[in-house]
Amino acid sequence: VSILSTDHIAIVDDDAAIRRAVARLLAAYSFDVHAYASGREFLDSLATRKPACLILDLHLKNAMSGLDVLHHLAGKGLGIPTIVATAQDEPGMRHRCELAGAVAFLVKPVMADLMLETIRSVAPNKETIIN
Amino acid sequence: METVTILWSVYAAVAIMLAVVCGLVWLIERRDRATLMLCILGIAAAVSAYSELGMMHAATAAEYGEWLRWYHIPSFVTLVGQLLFVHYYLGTGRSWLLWAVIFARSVVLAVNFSVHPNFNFSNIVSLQRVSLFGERVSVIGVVVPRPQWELFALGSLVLWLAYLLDAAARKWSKKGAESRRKALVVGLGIAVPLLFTVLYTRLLALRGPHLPLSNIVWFLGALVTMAYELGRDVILSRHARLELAELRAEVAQSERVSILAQLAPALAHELAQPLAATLLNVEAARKGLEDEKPKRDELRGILADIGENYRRAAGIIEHMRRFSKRSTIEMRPISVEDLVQDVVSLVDTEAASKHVELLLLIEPGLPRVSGDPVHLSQVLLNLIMNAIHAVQSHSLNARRVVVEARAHDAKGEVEIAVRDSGPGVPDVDEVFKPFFTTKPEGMGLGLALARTIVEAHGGHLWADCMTSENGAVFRFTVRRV
Repeated sequence: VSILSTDHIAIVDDDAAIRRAVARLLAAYSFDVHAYASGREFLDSLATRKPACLILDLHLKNAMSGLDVLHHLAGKGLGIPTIVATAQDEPGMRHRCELAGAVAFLVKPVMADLMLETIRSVAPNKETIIN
Repeated sequence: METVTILWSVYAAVAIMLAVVCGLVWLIERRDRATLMLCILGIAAAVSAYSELGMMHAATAAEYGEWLRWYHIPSFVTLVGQLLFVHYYLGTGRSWLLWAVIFARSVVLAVNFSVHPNFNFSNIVSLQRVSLFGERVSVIGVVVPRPQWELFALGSLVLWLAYLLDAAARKWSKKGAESRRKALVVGLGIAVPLLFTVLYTRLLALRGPHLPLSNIVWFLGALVTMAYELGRDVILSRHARLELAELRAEVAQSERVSILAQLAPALAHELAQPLAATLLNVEAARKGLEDEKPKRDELRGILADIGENYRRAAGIIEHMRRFSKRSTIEMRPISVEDLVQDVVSLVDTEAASKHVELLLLIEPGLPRVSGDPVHLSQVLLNLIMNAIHAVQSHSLNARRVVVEARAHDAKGEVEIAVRDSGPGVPDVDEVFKPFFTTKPEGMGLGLALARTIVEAHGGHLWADCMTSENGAVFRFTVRRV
């Protein structure tokens, strides 16, 4: 079983329960996962590794929100496909995220199938995904 | 013990009991001077009963004269006390008449202690022994009265009666059945016993029946009337208080539901998190079980997380349920720290989504306070929500709300303050008025209601330091246990 051989999936969520659950699910499907509690932590990690895909929470209880992270990524032009997964389904938010570069917008609680399917559809080298 | 002694002792005991009860009620409600008067009248009645027994048990004319002399003190207190009761209770008497009566009765008292043996007689030559309820008691026998002073005393009583009837008539002329009822009950209840007593004393003075001097009918009659009136007032005001508490509970509940409605998106987010985690965990477990050798530790961890997420969601639901329940204020010892944490757990998602930094500065080791957690949560939540709203006009990094809690040991209170970095409040009193609001969706009842809740807890809620640089600070105090 081999997937995205060198790449990994990054998840940014300030909620530890969500981080653990996403990491477990993706690990069960043989993804390599790196979880970050804040946008800053994730952006710093980019100096050493670049994920194949980012699952991003919008509602981060610190200075940098998910939208800020999207803007930073857009500024860097790294082309990391970003899936926004949020419980904050405010009017206009989906549009703002898409404008900021998000490739998918999922509203929590997200069904596992949908999350996996979305990851597969947006991550590069998806043809290499076996599961 | 003989019948008369027992009767008069019982009377004195009843009067003392009434005095104690009224005294205690007055200690709770110092503004209620009518109750204080009733307390004083109870004591005076007991002293009168004691003096009357003294006269009845007097062995010599001189002893009788001495008792009668001291008897004037409780009589003075009773006459003036009854008028002051009417003054405070009906609130309709003419002041000059009141002062005229007090002056006249002071003259009677002064004369009484400046002549011998007393105000009523220039000489008590002999006593008579008569039988009353089977007991031998002393009554006046041969005496030399002071007719001119007796006339003066009678005049003072006429003034007394005039004041009473005038006050009752003025009360009667006011509109409303309750005014009329009070006028009638107080007027008749006090005047009729006095008239009986005056008549009785006159008969004794005219050497009619050989009976002891006693004002019991008057004292007791008036006391019962006044106690009835005050008791009725206490019961009615208790009913009113209960109704008010019910009404406040209803308004407070609808305000809480409205706060919850404002928090709904944030609360939905809070609930969605553990649910989302659970869904993903379940799928991870299902996938894990497909392995030939499932990782038991991993599965155990997943189950523990599912349990934890369930508890987290249930906690949020329980919190909302408790907060939206309709309840009157029930005091119990509570921890200020728990109270603040509880409220912050309801509101921190809302604060974060509005980019507001919410800081807590809670003094360690705060004493427990006496209060109702739901109602006090409502007060604090209201203040924090207002603060979050107030800082929205500022840039993202200048939106700060600080919740502080510290003890005021000297005052026996804990003060909780909510400070914001917003534009401040122009008028510190205006904001507490009902229907004052700066929010288009607000009813403007939040702060007015918060103030009544805090005051019902025996504390204060106020706003200070209103400058455009420092923002607003709202503080409230709660009594420590």
